[in-house]
Amino acid sequence: MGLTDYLVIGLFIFIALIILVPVLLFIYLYIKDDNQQQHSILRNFPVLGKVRYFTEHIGPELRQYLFNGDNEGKPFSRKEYQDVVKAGKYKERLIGFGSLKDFEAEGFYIRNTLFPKLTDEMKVDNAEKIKTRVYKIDGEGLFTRKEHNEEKLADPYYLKDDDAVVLGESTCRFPFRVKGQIGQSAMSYGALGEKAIQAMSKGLGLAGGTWMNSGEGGLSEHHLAGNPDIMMQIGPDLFGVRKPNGEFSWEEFKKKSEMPQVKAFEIKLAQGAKTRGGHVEGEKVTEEIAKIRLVEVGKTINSPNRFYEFSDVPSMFDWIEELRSVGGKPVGIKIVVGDMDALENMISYMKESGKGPDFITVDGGEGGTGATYQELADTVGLPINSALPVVDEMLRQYGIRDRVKLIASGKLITPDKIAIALAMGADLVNIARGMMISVGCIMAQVCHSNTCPAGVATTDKKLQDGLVVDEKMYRVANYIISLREGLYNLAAAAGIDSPTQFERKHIVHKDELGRVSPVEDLIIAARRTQLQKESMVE
Amino acid sequence: MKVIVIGAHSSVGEFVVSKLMENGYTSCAVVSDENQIDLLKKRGATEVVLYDEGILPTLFHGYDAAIYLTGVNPKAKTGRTVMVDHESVIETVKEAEKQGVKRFVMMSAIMANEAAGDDSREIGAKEMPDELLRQSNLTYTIVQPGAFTDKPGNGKISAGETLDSNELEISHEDIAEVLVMSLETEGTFNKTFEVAEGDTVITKALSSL
Repeated sequence: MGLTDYLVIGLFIFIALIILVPVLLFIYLYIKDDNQQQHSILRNFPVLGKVRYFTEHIGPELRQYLFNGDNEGKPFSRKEYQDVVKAGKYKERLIGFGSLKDFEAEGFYIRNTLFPKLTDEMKVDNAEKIKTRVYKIDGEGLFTRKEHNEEKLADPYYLKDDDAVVLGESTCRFPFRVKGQIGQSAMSYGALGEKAIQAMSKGLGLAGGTWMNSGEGGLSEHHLAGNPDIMMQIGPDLFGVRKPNGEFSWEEFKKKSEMPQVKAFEIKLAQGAKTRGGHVEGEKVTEEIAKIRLVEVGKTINSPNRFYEFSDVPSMFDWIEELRSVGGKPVGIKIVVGDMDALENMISYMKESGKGPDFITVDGGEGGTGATYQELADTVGLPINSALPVVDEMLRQYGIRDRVKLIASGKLITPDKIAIALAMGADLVNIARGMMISVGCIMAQVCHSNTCPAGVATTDKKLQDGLVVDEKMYRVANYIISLREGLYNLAAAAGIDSPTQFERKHIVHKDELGRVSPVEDLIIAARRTQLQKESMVE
Repeated sequence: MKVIVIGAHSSVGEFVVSKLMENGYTSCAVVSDENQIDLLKKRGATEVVLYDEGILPTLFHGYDAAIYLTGVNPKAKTGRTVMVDHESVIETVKEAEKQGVKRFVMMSAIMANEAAGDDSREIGAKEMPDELLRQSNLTYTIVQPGAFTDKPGNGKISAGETLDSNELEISHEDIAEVLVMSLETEGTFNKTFEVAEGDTVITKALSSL
């Protein structure tokens, strides 16, 4: 046979394969799906039905990358996601041409003044520069982007010493002073892998003036890796401060409160995510987890959805008093606002007894969680923009606003959202998912399954390989610094010289018809139902 | 040696103030806004003075040297900091001379002695103060740095009467060190030179000028 013959045979086989393979696949699918009894569509239309299931499967990815507009997509739109990534990677928030926001929709706006503050009139402390790394783009092609990262000395945008926010100023032996208003919301080791926690810890430590909430899974050495200020959370399962039988351990609590890095404690009351109570499968309780959480290795833990230590406001306040006197550090509570009567009850008792928490963390209903039921995530608790002004106003009405600091959380991932929360009454702001995005989260929404493709919300060693701590830590630091800088920009626009001075009067709400109303209207609306109820009783 | 820093609240000025402290100098930082006092004290200034025109006649009393950062002009209001108000330089140099200052280190810009090709006179205007300082009786040093970057300093530069290359860069921290080191490095006395990042240790680069 000559060369031509080989070529002809080769071509023939090639064409046969091209036609044959799909035909065989078609027949295989047809027979297989026609005989199954589970899916009616596949029984009637075996091949077309398969296409339907396939597109449904890859739909979320297609929507995220191709079909969703930049401002669509939940929990965060493409645009919001990019804002976080760019701030972390390039420390850059400039945009050109104009905003992509939908100005027809309802929302809050910052009232700018005619005569904004000049940059050097701002009360900012930039005395200590931060040595960080940022990316610079060298060139961008259709399929490639050449970029390198380089060292940079960045201004930290700390609050001035006399503007610093102090938790437990008049109640504690060791008040907690913070020189930045933005910190990391509760995220446990276990929910996130050690690399993600380490990257955040190092980034926050580098940025300074911020804090890291340990989450209820106990305080791990990964949280301490970058030596940031720590707010240790205590959930009903008492991880890290318990005896093996599940009782609260004063001894362990004392040990934790003696650590210099631990600056405050936060008691997590029943809330959206874990109203169901916690559950840790025995196989997930490794030796390390057991050591951190002070539980038995390999034993399944079912934790209660409420503390055994207290059951009402007076007993909770007594417990807080005891924690504070033993630890000497500020103690706060984390709540989701739903029942305003209960809230008012608590606040009036704060006034009456002179006791109570040093700070209240108000978690908006839109706050994230590693794992909860859809019905709890969607509908339990008020969103932050409704809850926050109500809590602030109640504290004012009872004349105890100065005794307690408010920390807000719930999708507050950009400076404008943070500024609005500050204006609504927050003193400080917590961010969780923004931090996750800056260490590489791509919003795959599989945090509960230990299969996070970005190696963030997983303890799987292989998946965590993708996350390089010494690279991502700079992104966390840059993100925090950028947020603080953004807050100063907005404060200047509002005519105040520090973001600590944001008040209700600096923002307005605009509805779909363009009508503008002050925050006071929201408070009245939120409490109207309650007032109506009271008048009916009378 | 007691050193006065005019234009201390600039990105370079902040570093100048800390470098002076690190090297054991007593410093006085001159700033344009009350709000900046705290910052410069933190950075290590022994004294911080709020600038207004009235203080000039006594400003240099008791000081041996001055570092003048032309990028920030205490007389011009904020927002116009890029422009060099040559009248204020003239006044400052005259007053320094009269009040017995011996050393005057001024930060200018590369190409200060070239007129800008366009309508802007930002660079062109810098020539005048340079020339004026050269004609004074002060022991002057005029430092003409390349474009500033936010990178941390590494203590290495290249310095010379003219440096060739179109892209000359230097970090705020390194240029500040050059200014401070120039105070007592005789090689820089009565000289005008350009600096940019390089591979020579700062003190060595300065003494071999």
